[in-house]
Amino acid sequence: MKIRLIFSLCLLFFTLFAVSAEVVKQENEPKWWEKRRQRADIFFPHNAHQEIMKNRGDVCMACHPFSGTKLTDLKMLSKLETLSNEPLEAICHECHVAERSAPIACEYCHPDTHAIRPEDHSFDYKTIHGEAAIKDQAACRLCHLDLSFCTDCHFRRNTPHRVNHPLGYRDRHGLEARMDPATCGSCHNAGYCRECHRGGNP
Amino acid sequence: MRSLFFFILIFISIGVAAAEIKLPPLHHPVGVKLAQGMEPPEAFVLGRQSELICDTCHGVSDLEKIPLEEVDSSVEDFLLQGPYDSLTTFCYLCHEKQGMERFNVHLMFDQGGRLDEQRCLYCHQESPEPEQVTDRSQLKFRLPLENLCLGCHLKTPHLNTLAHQVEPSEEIREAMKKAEEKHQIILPLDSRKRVTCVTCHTPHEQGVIDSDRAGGKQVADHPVNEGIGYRDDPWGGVYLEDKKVRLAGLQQTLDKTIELPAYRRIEKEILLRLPAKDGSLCQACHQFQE
Repeated sequence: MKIRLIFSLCLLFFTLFAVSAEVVKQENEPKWWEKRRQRADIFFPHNAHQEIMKNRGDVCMACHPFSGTKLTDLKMLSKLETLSNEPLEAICHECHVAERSAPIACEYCHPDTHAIRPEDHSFDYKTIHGEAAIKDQAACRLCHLDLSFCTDCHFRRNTPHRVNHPLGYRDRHGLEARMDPATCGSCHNAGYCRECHRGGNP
Repeated sequence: MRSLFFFILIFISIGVAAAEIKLPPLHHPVGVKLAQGMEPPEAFVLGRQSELICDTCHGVSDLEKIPLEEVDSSVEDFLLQGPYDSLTTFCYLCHEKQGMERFNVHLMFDQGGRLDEQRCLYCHQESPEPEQVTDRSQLKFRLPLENLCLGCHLKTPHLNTLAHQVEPSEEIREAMKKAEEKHQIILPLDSRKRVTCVTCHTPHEQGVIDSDRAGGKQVADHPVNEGIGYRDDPWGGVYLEDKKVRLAGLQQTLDKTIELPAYRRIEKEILLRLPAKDGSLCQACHQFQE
């Protein structure tokens, strides 16, 4: 009799422990806004957008909709809320890309531009970009909004103008090249480096 | 021997219970005969003895054989000839709307413009005199504040309610206090100090409480009986398209069909302590550095 009682109590404690562990796990799960703060790829200055969003209809609810729902499954609803609150590229890009009524520099909203760089823009892409650009110029212009991005190189002829690097950069490029060689590689191939760094020259 | 008999009895009881069709809570009675004079649409088939059966209202074949947990209520024909904009639209196909419709307790004045004090008693044990109220305890609510709205409204009637029904941080409480002073309003929390429906919504129609009192301040640019005014937005289609892939992923993970609520803009607001359209209501709590 005693053994049965002990067994029942153990079972009860085990069940309670399992249930409470699940509750704690759910409570500790980060909320959608906490997840958003962890993101390095998007920056949205709320205050700076307040006036313009007011003129366009809604200040907050344009991106954080409060639409009615009959969903009562809280787990499902929580996931749906996360989804509905995710930044909507089309809303941002209507002003920043299509209309250009807002600043068009990518890095204003995407501080880590590597995060939004297309996968094919890998090492030495500059030398092989021609084919893709001819095929779908519009795709390039989704990010490269300013035509000077193309013309600076293609029509530069023999002017001393440097597009990406300031004057005298050649003398002090070493540190950056060691820190982030992939960035150099997105325009220059390995041969470009070897032209000067022959025979192990620093 | 006695234990064996006991276990057999338990198994038989479980078997009998399992054989009965399990219905969700608040389900319409099944097996009842149609009331005299009631004329459901032709497509709504009745049982052999003119009683209500599953197929009377549902278009899902062999619904009674599907376990309750596996029934997908989001399919179009779940309610016959659906989907419907609201459940009551479906109910009124058989039941007369006039006389059956639940009245709106937020409409607190009668046709002569007098306050109907019976309406106050839906939430208060006694009808309060707004001018004499100095403390919330004088309001004598029938239920804790967080439960007052439930029954007529869902606990999560719109998106982003779930994330709001929490105890605000010290920083947000500070912002709320400042907003209360700035706008001369109240932003009440529930009995456990959590944000609840009445934190943002006022239940009283304009004029029930004087608008110079904090509890009486509200957005009142639209009659309560007309409800909230929405308008479609060109971004609606973009919104649905943008979320489509992620929604499909979510549906696959949860193994359920989930409908993303339509993306619409609020045009006319009612029963809010501050306007939400211009962000004032949200900014009563949420402040940003940049």
